[in-house]
Amino acid sequence: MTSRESEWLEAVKRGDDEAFSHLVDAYQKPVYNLCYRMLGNVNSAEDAAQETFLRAYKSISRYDTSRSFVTWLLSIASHYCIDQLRKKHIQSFSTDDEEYAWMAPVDPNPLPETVITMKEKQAQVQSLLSVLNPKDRAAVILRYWYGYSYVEIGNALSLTVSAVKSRLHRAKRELAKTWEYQKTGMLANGRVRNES
Amino acid sequence: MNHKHFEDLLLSDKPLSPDESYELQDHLQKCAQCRNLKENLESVETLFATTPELEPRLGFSNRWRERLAIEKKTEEIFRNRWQSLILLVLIGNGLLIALFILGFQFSGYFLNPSQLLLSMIARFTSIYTALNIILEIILVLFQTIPGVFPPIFWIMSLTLMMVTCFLWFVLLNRLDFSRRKVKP
Ligand SMILES: [Zn+2]
Repeated sequence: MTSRESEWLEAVKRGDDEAFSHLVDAYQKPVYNLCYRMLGNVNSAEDAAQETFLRAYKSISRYDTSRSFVTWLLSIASHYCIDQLRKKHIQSFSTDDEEYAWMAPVDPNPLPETVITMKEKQAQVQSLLSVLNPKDRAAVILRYWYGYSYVEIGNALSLTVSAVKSRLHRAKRELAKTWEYQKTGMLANGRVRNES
Repeated sequence: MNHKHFEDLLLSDKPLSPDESYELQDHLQKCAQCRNLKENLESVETLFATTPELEPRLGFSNRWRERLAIEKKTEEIFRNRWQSLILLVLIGNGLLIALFILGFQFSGYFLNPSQLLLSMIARFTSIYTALNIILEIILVLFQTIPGVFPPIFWIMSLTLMMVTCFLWFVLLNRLDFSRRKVKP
């Protein structure tokens, strides 16, 4: 934890709202990105990130300063997004075969990297993540985008290390299977287009 | 062929021992299924590693400040409503209890209004009679007492009373004066 961060945290605990705004400024990006990867659309991500900071603000007295602040925030965000996905059944991406085809990662006639726009790449990622159940999705995101260890993922998601391991194992198998499915879907789609 | 063992090696994050690595390479050369899994996994991981982070819309922390202000206002309204509700419930309960006690005490009268009227008349009559008796006693005393004692007794009593009052007044004044002097 940086000295500035601990100063802000001390100020927040004394009731200084402006100090918390500094923390929001500093950590909006990691929190927002986690929410976006979890929920798959910008509006839900914005809402979830705002809610995360609000929850953190309200329960700041329960924050253990020996833990990393950003890990604590990401833990709140993960739990909130998991709840949202379970409650509202947010459909971040359609699992329709046809919709999969246009965003398929492997083209039989490879396109140059520059042609695939950033938006399409984000969509590809989200279409892959959307096949995972909420908790597995959170584990994968914390592993790949935040470089968290099994212990850190376990702390953030209230899971044991062995549970994290088995969830990641299962998630990776599922991701590979979905990639394969998208690839064959794309090939089939291409064949149909060539024949017509 | 036992794919399970090799799949586990491919899906595991922990670094492989030289033996495991050799075993896996050997299997991959012979097994298209596991080779496919490896390629797919690598593609997914490459995609994840090369997908840039997103930036939240500009003014995120300002929107957060606004949201916090709204949240605080809502909480205050909610708290005030609760306080009002609790107060109302308390007053309501107090009234109910008072009504219950009163109802219990006067239940007999409520059931029979004529009895209530009769008891009120009886009470007024008794008060009126008591007042009349007291007035009668005072009148009798005024009429008889002056005749019992001679006039000299009344003159002496009056003088004594006046002297006592005077002494009392002087003493009180002196005491008050001395107290004022003591005070710094
Ligand atoms: Zn195999």
